[in-house]
Amino acid sequence: MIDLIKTITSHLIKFQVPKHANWLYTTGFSLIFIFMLQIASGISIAVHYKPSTRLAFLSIHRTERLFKYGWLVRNLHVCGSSALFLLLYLHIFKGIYYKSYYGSKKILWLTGSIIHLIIILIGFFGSVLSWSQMSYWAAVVITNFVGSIPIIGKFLRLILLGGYTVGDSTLRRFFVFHCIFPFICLIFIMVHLLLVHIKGQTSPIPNRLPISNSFEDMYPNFIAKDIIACIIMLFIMYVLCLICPNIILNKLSYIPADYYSTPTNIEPEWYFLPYYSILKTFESKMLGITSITLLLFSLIFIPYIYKIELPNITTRTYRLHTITAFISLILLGLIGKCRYTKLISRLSKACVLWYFGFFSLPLIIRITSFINKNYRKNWI
Amino acid sequence: MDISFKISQIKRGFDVFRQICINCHSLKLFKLMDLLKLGYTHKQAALLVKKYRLIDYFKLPYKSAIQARRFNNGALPPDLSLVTKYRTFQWIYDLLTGYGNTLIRNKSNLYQNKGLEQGWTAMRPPLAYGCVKSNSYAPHSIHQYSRDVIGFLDWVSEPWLTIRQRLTIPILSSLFITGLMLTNSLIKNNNKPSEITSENLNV
Repeated sequence: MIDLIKTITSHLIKFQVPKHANWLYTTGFSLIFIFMLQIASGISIAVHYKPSTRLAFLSIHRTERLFKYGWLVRNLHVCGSSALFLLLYLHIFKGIYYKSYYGSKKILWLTGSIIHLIIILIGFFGSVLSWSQMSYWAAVVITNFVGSIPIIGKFLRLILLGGYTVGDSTLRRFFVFHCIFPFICLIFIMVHLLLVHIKGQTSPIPNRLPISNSFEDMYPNFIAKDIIACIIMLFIMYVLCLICPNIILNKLSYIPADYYSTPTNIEPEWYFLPYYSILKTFESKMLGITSITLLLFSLIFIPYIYKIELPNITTRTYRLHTITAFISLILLGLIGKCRYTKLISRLSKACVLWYFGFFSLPLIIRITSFINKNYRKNWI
Repeated sequence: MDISFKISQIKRGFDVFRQICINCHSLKLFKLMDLLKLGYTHKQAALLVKKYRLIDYFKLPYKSAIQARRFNNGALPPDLSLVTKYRTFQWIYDLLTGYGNTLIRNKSNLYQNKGLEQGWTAMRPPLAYGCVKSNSYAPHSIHQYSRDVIGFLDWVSEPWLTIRQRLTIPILSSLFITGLMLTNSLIKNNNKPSEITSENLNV
């Protein structure tokens, strides 16, 4: 027992953290904190939720009024999701920017990308549960989109919907998925944390190992930073809840679902806007599906693409490339808010190409270097 | 901002609602029990609307949605409890005061309304001069009625407004102060006291 406590304390207090760690390194801790907060607030809402098409919308708004601070808990759950996604994207950006997938840390990256995919699914299922006009049409669009995958698409759609249209059974299924998936995600988060503690943190300065002098104990300085980051996120969430609650929730999310009338401008939450803008631009469904699946799964393949130290890329140029790739994603999100025109569709296609350029760059460099080497030998 | 100076307006708005709007519209997130927050007693609140008990939500006053459509020119009267969330106050005001002095009807029995973009609605002109019985000294005009109703519906859509505004400053300030205290702890003290030796002490 004493040994166990000793190991835990040694991992908590004497965990080696780089001295040059900046604020991006605090995102992991605050992500866990907000995830726990989401689970706590989510359970207290789910107790009162009624998963049926007649009562879902009403039950959510009635629990806001019936119970003490019900409105605050629900608003915290809604704002918490967007805070979680903001932190998640920052965390991914940090991982790519400081090359924390490199070498033996490949497993860490893979578990992280699985967590990312699961959290996106949770976000989608949760947005459908409120059964407003927005969520209903989002469910219709996305399930149709899933249905148009070749071969397995129709079978998958049947499993998701539990029928041939979005209805009562769909809502029940999505509620169950929304309740189960966070706990599956929690297991992966535990594995991720354990792996971080086994493999050690990556230094923002490249090629430094956790044994060297540039690392220090976690306890006095870094934990304070972590807690401050948590408090900042809480502050932002409470500002969103208490001062301007209508920023995150769209106007359409206050109208109950009605399958007779299609709203003119549907818009997902801000964290799904890049995917939404891709859906809008491509005329053929297949192109849209392939580009979205590539966008989702491209993160998994990063450690395999940037495997070796490339000849012409220094760390400085590599970091510039990552920043431009993320800027292209932000631009895609901004374009998703605009009305569909020819110019905007072209711009978003350019953005998609720009983003995939980041992944195809090492391949191109390898090919060009191969050609340069074998220029004299062969007929190339 | 406090709601206390709005209470009389909300009460007048409820007077308009219980005599006029309630005949076609539902208010599914509201029950008479909620009026206790405005200062009504149990008995007063129970007597205001005879159809419903204290704990009943205000349903659609028709037998079914099909019947409601049949009575209202084919349009279902929407639920009003969240209407101020997805429509602006100006939009509702324009709708209620947009009917002209002379009623003009369409071929498909729609009424002309200058406040709307399309210009025609299925709703009958609900308000008229002095159509609401109430004890207040407010002027009995369409303008006043529509303003009162909007105030009441806004209160129904967000009854926790006072609590929300009362909570903001304590929560945000406490978070701010704890954050400041922790950041203060991060600032490193570079002026460390030098180690005590026999030479320093000058004994």
